[in-house]
Amino acid sequence: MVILGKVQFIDRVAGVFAIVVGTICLVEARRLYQYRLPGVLLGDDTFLTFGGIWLLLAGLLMLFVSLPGMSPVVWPNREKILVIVKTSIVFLLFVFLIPYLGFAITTFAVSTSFFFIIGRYSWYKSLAIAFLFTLCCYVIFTVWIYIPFPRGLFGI
Amino acid sequence: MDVINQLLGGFGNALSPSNLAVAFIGVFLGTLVGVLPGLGPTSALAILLPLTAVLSPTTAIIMMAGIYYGAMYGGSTTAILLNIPGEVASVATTLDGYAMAKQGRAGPALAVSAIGSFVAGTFGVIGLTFFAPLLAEQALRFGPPEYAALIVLALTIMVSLSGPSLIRGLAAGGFGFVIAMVGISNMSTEPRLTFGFMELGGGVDLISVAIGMFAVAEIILAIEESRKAVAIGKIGRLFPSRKDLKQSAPAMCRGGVIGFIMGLLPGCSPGLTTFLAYDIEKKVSRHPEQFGKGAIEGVAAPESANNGTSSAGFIPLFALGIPASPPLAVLLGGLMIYGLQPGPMLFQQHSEFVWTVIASMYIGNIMLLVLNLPLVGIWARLTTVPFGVMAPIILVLCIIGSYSVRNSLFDVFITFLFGVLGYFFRKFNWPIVPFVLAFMLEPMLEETYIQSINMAISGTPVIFFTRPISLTLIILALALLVVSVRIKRRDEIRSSMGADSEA
Repeated sequence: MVILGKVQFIDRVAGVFAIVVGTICLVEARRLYQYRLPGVLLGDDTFLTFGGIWLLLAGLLMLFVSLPGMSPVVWPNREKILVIVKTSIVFLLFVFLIPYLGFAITTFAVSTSFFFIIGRYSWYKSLAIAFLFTLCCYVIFTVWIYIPFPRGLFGI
Repeated sequence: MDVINQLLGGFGNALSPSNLAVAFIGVFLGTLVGVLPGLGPTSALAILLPLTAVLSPTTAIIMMAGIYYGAMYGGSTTAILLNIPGEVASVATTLDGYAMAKQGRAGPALAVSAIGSFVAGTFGVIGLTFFAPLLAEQALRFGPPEYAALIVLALTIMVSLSGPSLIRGLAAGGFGFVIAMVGISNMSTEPRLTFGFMELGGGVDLISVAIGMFAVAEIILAIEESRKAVAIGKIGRLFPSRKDLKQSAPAMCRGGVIGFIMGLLPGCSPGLTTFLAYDIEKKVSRHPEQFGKGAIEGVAAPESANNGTSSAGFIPLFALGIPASPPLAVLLGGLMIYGLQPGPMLFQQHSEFVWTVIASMYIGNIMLLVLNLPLVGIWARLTTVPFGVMAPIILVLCIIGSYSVRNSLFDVFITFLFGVLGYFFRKFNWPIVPFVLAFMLEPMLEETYIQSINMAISGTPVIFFTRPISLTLIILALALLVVSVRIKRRDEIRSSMGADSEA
């Protein structure tokens, strides 16, 4: 550990972030202090204060201390970034679509998209595998275990 | 002698065809449900409880105990094969279990997990048989100050699991600690760190975070690396070699003992015991650098601790009527439905029932092994399924798993967010485990700390130093902290010297 040595850029970013979050915690702790019951030595601000100080100290250390164990980061190429971004969009679409389309349809649509994007299968194959998979999920999670997924506008 | 006679009588009942069948069904169903991500033993018991309604009290409790064991084991299967920790107790198993699966050693990992569970479960049942009332009494001496000190001890694990840099580990732990506080506060019921978002009022769920940081992040990385399957390369042996068993045997025993002792304490989370067992195993290992990279002891220890905890939990349940964990609370509910009041009188008024259940737990442990060992080959082959098929399945299971915890779509969103965060953690070589550990322990620590201060006559933290068990644990925590920091510094110096010499 070398103080004031070569600090990695990403450690600096993380350090700043830790300081910001630590400060937010302390501000929030100050807000909650007023809700302490009279005569009580601790409150909901106690651990928040502790957490805030913890992050502030860690952040300061990350800003000024050179830390070991950092190897050069290799980022994915454009093609893979596109696959990751598309996968993420589909993942988020599940959250937004399921209240309207229901579990079965949304799972089918999302699985098909995943098989197409990640697996690079043709649409026909993706549809077929997704159909089987959705059927299994529906039977196991909805029919057998009764997990109360949203049923959407179509009631399935 | 009397205990042995009663136990033999219990075996006489437990070995009846109907009770054997029911134990098998319970273990089988529990394993199936436990495999599903997001559904742990509590959910498994709650879901399958109605099935036991048609059975007699003894048979019903035998089945429920089987479900409990099965679900505890089932959670480790997805942890090892898919890096999806189905429950808190499986998080520690993912660290080395999944690494072994990637090396084509899913079979030995699963087999050691089953064997370790059997060994630890058997220890636990032996303890239950011979020491139940005595141990239960001792466990009652653990109050909030002792629990708080124990959690502080567990937090010191962060040091040894912080990877190459202690400061990054502590920073990650700090983030986890703070994020755990999001939600409605304990004392004043004011929203804390919610910034006006109603959805954050319920806090951030640990399972959703763990699924995101482990499973979803792993999928993103695998897409980046264009992985062909979970297992990179050929699958090796399906079963552990003699060397694997020899290496993992001490870990199984140590993990089982740690899990058993901790499991006696009501409210002691299996997540805590598994991480403690993992850390202790790493500390005593001659090759600690192998942990996190596929060390078989890293699977044996937490899995044994997990099952040891589940077995030991029956001791305070039967002897004192105190459920040690949420699944056992469901079991307690089951007992009460059948008019059986757990507690000191249970052994006297319903001794036949108690000894039959204890005997069936021995049998259930054997059934767990018999059921799951032959399946190891099938499960292990899953790691060779093309990634293009597995990744979508894993992602959808992650979505379902995180939703099913609280039936909340917000948790699915959290899983996604933490999946992205986990990806960046991995890219920048920041440690994930301190984050998850601090996140898991903060609520427990805050609650027990508040209870301790309320208990204290002076209303100050002096109470932690005036109670002998609490003081002992704090001294132990400090000692472990010093040892861990020294080992960490030594490793940091060695690695920087190694880097200098290469340059």
